[in-house]
Amino acid sequence: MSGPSTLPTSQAPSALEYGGDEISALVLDPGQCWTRAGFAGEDTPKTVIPSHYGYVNGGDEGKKYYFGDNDVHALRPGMEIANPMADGIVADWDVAPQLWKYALTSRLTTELSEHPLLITEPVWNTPKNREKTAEIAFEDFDVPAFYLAKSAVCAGFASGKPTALVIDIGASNISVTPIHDGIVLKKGSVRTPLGGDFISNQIRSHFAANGIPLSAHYQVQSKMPVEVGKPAEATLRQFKSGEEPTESWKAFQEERVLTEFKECTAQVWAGPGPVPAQGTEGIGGRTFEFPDGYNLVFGAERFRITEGIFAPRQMLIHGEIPHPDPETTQGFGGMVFSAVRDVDIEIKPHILNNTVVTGSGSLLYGLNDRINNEMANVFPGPRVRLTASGNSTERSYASWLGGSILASLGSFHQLWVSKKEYEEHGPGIVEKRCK
Amino acid sequence: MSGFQDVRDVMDISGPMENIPRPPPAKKQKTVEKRPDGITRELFALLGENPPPVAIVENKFKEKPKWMGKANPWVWTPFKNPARSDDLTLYHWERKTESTEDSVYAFSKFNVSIDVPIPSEDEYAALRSDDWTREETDYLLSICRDFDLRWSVIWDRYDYPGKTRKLEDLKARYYNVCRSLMEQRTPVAQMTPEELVAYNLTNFEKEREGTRRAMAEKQFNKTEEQIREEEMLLTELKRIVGNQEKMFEERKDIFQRLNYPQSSGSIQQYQGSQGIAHLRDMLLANNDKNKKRKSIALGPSTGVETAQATPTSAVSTDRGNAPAKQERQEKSEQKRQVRKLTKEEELQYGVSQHEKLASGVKLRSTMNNSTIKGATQTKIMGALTQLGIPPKLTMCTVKTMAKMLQLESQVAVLLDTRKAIDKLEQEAKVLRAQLGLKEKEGA
Ligand SMILES: Nc1ncnc2c1ncn2[C@@H]1O[C@H](COP(=O)(O)OP(=O)(O)OP(=O)(O)O)[C@@H](O)[C@H]1O
Ligand SMILES: [Mg+2]
Repeated sequence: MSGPSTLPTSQAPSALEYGGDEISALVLDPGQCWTRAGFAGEDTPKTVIPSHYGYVNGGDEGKKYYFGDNDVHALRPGMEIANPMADGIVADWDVAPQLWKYALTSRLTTELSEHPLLITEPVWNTPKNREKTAEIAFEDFDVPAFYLAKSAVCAGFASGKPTALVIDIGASNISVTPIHDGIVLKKGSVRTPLGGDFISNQIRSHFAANGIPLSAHYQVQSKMPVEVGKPAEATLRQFKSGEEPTESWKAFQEERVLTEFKECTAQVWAGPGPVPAQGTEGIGGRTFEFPDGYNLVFGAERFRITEGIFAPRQMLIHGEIPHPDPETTQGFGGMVFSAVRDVDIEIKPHILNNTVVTGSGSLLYGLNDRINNEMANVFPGPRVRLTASGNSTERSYASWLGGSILASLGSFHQLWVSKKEYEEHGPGIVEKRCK
Repeated sequence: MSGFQDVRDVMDISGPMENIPRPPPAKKQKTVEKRPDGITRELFALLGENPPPVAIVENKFKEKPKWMGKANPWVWTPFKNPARSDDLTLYHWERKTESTEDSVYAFSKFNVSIDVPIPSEDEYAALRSDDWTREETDYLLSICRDFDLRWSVIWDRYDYPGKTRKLEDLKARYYNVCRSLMEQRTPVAQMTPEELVAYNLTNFEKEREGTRRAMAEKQFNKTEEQIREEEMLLTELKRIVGNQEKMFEERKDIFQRLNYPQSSGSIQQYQGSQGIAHLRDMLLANNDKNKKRKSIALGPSTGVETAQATPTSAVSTDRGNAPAKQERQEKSEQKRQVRKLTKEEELQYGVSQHEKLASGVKLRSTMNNSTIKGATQTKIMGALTQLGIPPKLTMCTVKTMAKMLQLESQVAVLLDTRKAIDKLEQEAKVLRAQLGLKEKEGA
């Protein structure tokens, strides 16, 4: 093969050829579910920690915080679990900077003042939040340069598409964002709260409505195999009084089982059209085994759990389990329609031809087929082409990856907001520079 | 190698194995002979023992690379980007070089921005418009600068209090401003060619752009039925276009048939008896000419029938100088177009079909169309006279001629038969005579 020959180790590649110029920048992608951090120019974030954190209310020295996978999942009496993010953006400015600092310094670097920092944000981030982010970066972290990039744009870049329709299915939201030449088109940016957390609650509703007990891994000391549908035969862990885990921690542990359920059992009706109300009895089932050994076969129910994404009126509702308003919430098809409606006609066909699907939530089995069908239904005329990375890591970390690409480009380095500029113009400068 | 032993085992053969060749011990390394000079490696490989098919993995470390010269270190170097307005210093790895002079940051050349004009105080006077305030115009120009004239983005981000503008409005205003500023700065007459090109580019037709966009929108929002209909229409169109060629040909044909020669002159001179007589003479003369021409074209007449003095040929001669080739083509086309008559109709109208017609007019009675020639013919004539039939028909029609021919050929057959009988009788007579002689001898 006479392709591009690999360069000898003693020779540097021409920098202009691949456009990269690594300045050892750090990239942080804070999400509702995961916070990802790593060096620009790498293809996966070196640090991925849950956005959830643990805290124990201490006496004199105030709250004690716990970050990172190991600590939040550890069983500590009295440790509550909380999330500084709400609706995909920072809600708790006391904890978020600590969480970010942990993500950046736990294993990447100790000197934040030596590394420019790029942080991603969703389109619906508020101006106040943006300024606050810049403030944290320059004043708490003391970074030499800083940039706020839109996560949708980054996800587009991760697929090599500066002009695209980005469908991000995260934990808090499903967002549809048209981008053009690396710039978000705000009029067409829409979202609905039907992301991964919504699916979790749908599963909870289904379990609660059908009396299916949800157990978590921490409860089980030992278990015996049982027949399908038979009660579990497991020895459960007993807690001394005063040492029981808190409710929020328990819910967080249950969430892990629900994610497992999403990965293995939940499925999206491929379409075309919604899940039929009748005649789904013949569909083959899938077994899911709960941590305590109890196992069940899920037939058509596994489609109904996810159907709410496309038809919010059909969402499962049970008791106190939170859910968005089924009447006013926009379904997927309507959302894509209104996103594209408010875009300049000139680029409509172009962005539809470059539709990018990202976010871990999009890993739901069968989702891409359904999206394809829904989009063909909404736009019968123009050609719709989906791009969804087959690599699940890439799909989960797309926004981070795009940020990593961006911050390692030679031509990007003129866009950083430098510390000097920040000091001159104040935090308002992000609003002007990071559009 | 073990196959041999396997076979022995299967066949249950035991016995001395001494004379059986054993495979050489596997591990033993072959000593590689030194290749003599002058023999290529490939050729040498064909000689003697073949090398083992599997490469022998030698149990030794990779050889130390031989570095050419000294290693060139990478240095963590600070750099400044001239594309930036501040002097932010960033760091990256660079090869260590001897030269100490600063090189310009390579990526700064990608820092291109689009020139959006800034009107001066005086120039604003000419830009006044009822619709656009000065503040809004300034806002438009600044947003154009911010997004480098990416109109989709400009329209998306355009947010002036109390105004909602269409994209073509924004474009129209922007290009109007540009145009007006260009005019004010350099009068059109004094513009250089490049400036003129740029000036002409600012000529923006808002209405047309609006219609175009509306149409694009319609095209984009087609419903499923519309798409299906469009597809159907497209296939229909294809079919029609395909048929068109055929239709044109047919139409041309019809026109040709409806076509008659236009008289070129006035008919004044042919009015009155003298004129008519003159015309007749002329036609006859033409006819003669035509006959001559035809007979030359077709060779000596061998035909059987009268022919060719048809009106068409007269007409074509009338037309005179039309190229002969085209004429012939036309004629053959016309022949093709003639409606086939049935047998009955042919009889009824007295029309007959002929493969080939000889030119010129002949009387049937003068034609000699019998196929029988020479001596036979005279014999037939004789036979006919014997029967009291005159050799020439008094009434020559197609039918009587055909009957006559039939009769002639039948007479010919009869004559032939009589001849054969005569011959056979003659022979029989001879044979009988011989028989008589033999009997006499035998007796
Ligand atoms: N294989 C899978 N199938 C379905 N859902 C999954 C899968 N893996 C993870 N998820 C869900 O995806 C969600 C996390 O997605 P992601 O990491 O993209 O969110 P995020 O970026 O942290 O959140 P957001 O974008 O809302 O701020 C979680 O709700 C998780 O349960
Ligand atoms: Mg996300």
